Amino acid sequence: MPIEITNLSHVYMPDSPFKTTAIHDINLDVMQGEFIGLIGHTGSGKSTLIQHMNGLLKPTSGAIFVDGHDLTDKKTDLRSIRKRVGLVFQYPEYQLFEETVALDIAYGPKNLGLSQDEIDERVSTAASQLGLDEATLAQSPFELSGGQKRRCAIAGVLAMQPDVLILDEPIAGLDPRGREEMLGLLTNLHEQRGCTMVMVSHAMDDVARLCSRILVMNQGTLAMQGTPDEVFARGDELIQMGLGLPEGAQLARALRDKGFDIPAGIWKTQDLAEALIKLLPLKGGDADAR
Amino acid sequence: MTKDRPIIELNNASFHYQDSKQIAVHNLSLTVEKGEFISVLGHNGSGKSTMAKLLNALFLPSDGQVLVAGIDTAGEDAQWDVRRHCGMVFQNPDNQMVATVVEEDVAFGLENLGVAPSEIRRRVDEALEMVGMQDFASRQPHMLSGGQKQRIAIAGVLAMRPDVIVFDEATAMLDPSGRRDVLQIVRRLNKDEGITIIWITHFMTEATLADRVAVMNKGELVMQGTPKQIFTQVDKLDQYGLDVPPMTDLAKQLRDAGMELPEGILSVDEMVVELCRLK
Amino acid sequence: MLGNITLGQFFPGDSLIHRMDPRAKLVLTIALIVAVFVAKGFLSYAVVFAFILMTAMISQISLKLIIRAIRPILFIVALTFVLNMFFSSGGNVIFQWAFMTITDQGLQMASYMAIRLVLLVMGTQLLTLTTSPIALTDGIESLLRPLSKIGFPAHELAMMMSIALRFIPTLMEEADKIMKAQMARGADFESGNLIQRAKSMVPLLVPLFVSAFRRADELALAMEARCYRGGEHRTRMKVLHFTQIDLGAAICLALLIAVVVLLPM
Repeated sequence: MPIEITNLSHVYMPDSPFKTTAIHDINLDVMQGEFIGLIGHTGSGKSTLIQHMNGLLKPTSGAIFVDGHDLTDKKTDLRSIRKRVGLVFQYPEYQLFEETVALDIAYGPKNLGLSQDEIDERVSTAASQLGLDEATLAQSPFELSGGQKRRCAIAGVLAMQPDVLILDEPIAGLDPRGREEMLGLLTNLHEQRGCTMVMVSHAMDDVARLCSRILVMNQGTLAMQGTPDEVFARGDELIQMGLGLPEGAQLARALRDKGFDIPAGIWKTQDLAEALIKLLPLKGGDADAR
Repeated sequence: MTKDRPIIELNNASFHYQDSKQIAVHNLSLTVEKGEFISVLGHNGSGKSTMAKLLNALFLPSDGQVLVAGIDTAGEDAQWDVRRHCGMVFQNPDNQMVATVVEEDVAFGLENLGVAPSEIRRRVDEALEMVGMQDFASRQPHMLSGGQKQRIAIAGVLAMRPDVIVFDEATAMLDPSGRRDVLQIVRRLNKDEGITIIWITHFMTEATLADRVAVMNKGELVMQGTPKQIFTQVDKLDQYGLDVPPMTDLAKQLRDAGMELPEGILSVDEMVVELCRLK
Repeated sequence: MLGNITLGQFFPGDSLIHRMDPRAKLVLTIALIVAVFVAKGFLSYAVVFAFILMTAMISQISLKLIIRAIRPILFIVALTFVLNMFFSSGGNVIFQWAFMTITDQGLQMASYMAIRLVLLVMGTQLLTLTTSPIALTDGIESLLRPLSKIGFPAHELAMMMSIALRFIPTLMEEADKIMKAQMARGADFESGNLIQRAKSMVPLLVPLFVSAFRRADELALAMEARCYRGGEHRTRMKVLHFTQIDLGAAICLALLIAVVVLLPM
């Protein structure tokens, strides 16, 4: 199992008046090859949780195991953990610093002490996986467009060839086309590399579309988890936590209230369309219906 | 200025590169009436932001003309008057706060205008109340959430009593609840205070709230109309790198399957009403 | 975690000292420094020390906070003491070894300098503890304003100080984030020799500078959009007012200086 978390709690500034419990008693297993969506409003503890997964933060209590290595054990080499668990922060484009895109992507592999050949190969693999071409590799990262910068930054983490890739709000600030492209790339990464993915996002519709399991955090605890269908079936609770539902799930709820017989777990546009077509009368002919 | 004069008039306004960072816009023509809520849509790099900056004399048109409340923005010393009439809220909440205390930040614009101290005090308190942030008056900005910071930025503009407020992707960096709060305030300012709103965004669902939508592509205004008129043109929007609200998409699928739904369904509420009619 | 950044060392409160006009506090702190330097003799120093203690009590600032400020300068105090001890001449020799001589006057001089330094730091510490950075900036701007007639950029200086104060926490948060992001890419900021460590800072400093300039650009635009055009014709929401407290404080300080001057060595 790539990541195993038991009774994890984290308290910021424990001995000061600013003491805050960011996360409390989290139990979580991340399975090989999963695509997990992590949702929760700002301050619910998502960022704190993911920073534990590659040892950037140390738990106040509880334990985290990555491939069986105990992260709280002083003997564990955290740098080798960070090679296995890649973490892409929110707005990662603000961490770019090298003269060229290629050099920036190479920063991680270089830190791993790999040979130049190996580094070059990893750079070109990571770049192509994120749709960055040769010409782009020679450019300065500061001259790229916003979406390209972000892909460059993600490639920088991917070049570490992690088994688990964690992304904090990878589509924040992108426009509709940029969002679509990014989500497509992430889906491909998951399918082709078979790596385990954890995506933090506010965008319910996208999380629902990509992820096989959704974790909902609220006030520092893991409030809900399950398949998208299971989670969106508990719409009332989500709304109480200040989280939105995908519009499809909102519609399904509203229609059920009006007496429509919409089965639970339906929220995708496609599924809604099918369910409604069964329920409602269509015009006589359908071929030339406008 | 006569009463009926549009509050904003763009007459064939263009703005060309001065340095490579700015995106050019060409021949923009748009009029905005007093009290309107107009949304400007476009993908990143379509020139929305450049247009926004033309509206309060941060940029001056290289060709054509921009009039705000009847004042030509290119006129000598006109920019201060223009900026008083037309306030602006930017995308990054952090990078538009000047002061280390919330109320001082709200006061900043009025101080620049040389308003008397007692009047500043009054207007700052009033503006903070309008955005529901009066309890945060003496807080430090960096302790606030993104949504709260944007509300402070709105208060800072409101205190100057503008006719128009331009929001340049003001919700792009906010979480859903912050976005909701800001939108709610903006709609109230439009309805109750009659402030003209120019709402620049790439969130389709936000654009559906406007009276009118303008779409930009490659530095040009390519579509204008009511949200219903705009969002029914699914293919055209796709071509401009935009998508349609999920409900519009669903309605299209249902119509294609032969269901008798009217065009222009944008929101969940509208969809529920229409489906109930069919039942 | 950087949530506990306090701007400057300001310790909020509502004491008489807190309510003083920042301009008065600045001027009177300078007067206090003058008092420290005109004071000669342990008795005078004791009087100044008592005065500082009294002010601290009125301001309800715990003595610990004031003493804490001395810790970082202990080395300088010691150095001053030693230098003065060895390099003052005159008086009776009390110790001599090789080229080093210690005289009783030298010893006295050294003690005076050390005490002065400590009193100086305690006095200015009281100012920063009881005055918010923004009030301090306003005070400085207002005091320097007459100088702008001869071209001194008083307003610009104050505006720069206040913007710096505003962005320090933001940039520190950002630095923390970038550091973590690079650590996630295997960066090591802790080991290696000095040169290696300096080199390892590049991936942190470059993005930080880029971001600082981007922020500066955006902030400048936002300020312009809110009609900022420099210090001329500008008014302030909070106008500084001298009150009776300031008058009282001024009289107390005048008294202190008089006492210190009149006291015998």
